[in-house]
Formats: sequence, C-alpha cells, structure tokens
Amino acid sequence: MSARAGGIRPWVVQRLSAVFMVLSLIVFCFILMFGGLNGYVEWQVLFSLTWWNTVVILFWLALFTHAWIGVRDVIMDYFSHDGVRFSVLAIFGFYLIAMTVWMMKIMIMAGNA
Amino acid sequence: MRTLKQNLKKRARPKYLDLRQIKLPVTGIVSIAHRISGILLVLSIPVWLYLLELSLSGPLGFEEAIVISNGFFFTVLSIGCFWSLVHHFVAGIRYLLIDLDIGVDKEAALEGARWVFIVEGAIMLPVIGWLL
Repeated sequence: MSARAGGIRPWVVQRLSAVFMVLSLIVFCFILMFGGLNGYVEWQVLFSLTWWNTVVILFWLALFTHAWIGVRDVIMDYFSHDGVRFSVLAIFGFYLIAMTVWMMKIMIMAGNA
Repeated sequence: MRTLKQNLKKRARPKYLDLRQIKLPVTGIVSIAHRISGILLVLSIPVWLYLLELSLSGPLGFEEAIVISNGFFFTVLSIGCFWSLVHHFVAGIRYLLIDLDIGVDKEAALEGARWVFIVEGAIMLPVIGWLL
C-alpha cells in the first residue's frame, strides 16, 4: 500500500476486511460440505436465514471496501496524470457503488423470500 | 585511466525500459501477481452476482445457474478466478505475517515468497486435475 494513501486507517481496514472474508469463506465451505444442500429449496432457505443473509452482505461489503483500497493504490501507482487518475478512480468508484446496490437488491429479495 | 565520459560511453545505457531485461526477484513476482489476481477478482464480481441472483430467482433459475456453471466459458473463468483467489489468499497471509514481523529480512522474504508459490501449487494442481 502506498504511503500516499495516507494514515493507518486504510491499512487497518484492509486487514480487517481480509480476515473477515477468509472467515466467512471458511464457514461457506463448511456449509457446502456438511450443510446437506440438495437443491434450490435448501439454497433459498439458507439465504433467507437472517444470520447467513447478514454474513453474506457483510462479506460483499468487506470485499467492495477491500477492492476500493487495493485498486485505488494500483490506480495511483500507474496513472500519474491528475485528470486521468481522477477519471479512472471515479469510474471504478461508480462500478463499486453499482455493485453494492445490485448486491443489496439480491440479498434483500433473498431475505424476504 | 578512463575519463568519466569514456566510462559512460562504454556502458551503453538502455534508453527505455526493456521488460525482458528486468529480472524481478521472486518477492516482486508475488507482489505483481497479488495485484493482477486482485484486479481479475474485482472484474469478475458481476459474474458472481449474476449467478447468485439467478440461483436465488427460483427453481428454474437455480437449474440454469448450474448449467451455466458447468459450461466451458465458465469453467475457464472459474479456473482463472480460483487461481486468483488462491494466490491472493496465500500471498495475503504472507503479508499478514510480515505485518507481525515474520519473514521481513531479505533472505526470509525470499523464502516466504517461494513458499507462496509452493503452497499455491499444492492447492492448484489437485483442483485443476479434478476439473479437467
């Protein structure tokens, strides 16, 4: 992570989000192996459970935050022209916001089903 | 004794970055692969969200998602994404260890970077064998 990004906070957020994603992926692997998922019904019920719905939403939010910090550093390393850098960062930011909105729609519908 | 000017003349300096002449140490390869794998994973987000939405849309969508995920395009994509995930994961754990002051010195860092590829290979080879 470049020093320019400034401060210890993005560094801490990057580590916390990474650890959270690893833990939730481990839980997901256990569910796939021992959860007895046999088809659509079990799959749909799983994602309607409040605890799992919440974990998955937090997983995506951790991923989007992690992606923002990581890709922002990459963009700042390779695009030195201010205008280009700003534009690429803005496009990437909109991409992540769009993904967040879409993800929330999917997860809320899954929770209400 | 040669003058400075002669010295400069003798060593023909490259005027541009010749990527074939740059020997990246293994730590550098892990680092650039961490970036490339991260970007691949970020770009694949819509695919996973689409499959998740489809699989939760109803019994028919669930079946369709299974058919798509067994297809050729998706198999290639998921091998790429799986490598990205494994590399990002293993190299990420190395960075967490470095945060804890483990494997920071030059020799230890090289050793750690080599271990990233060893562990990665140990995870990837059986999975690719199983997929093909």
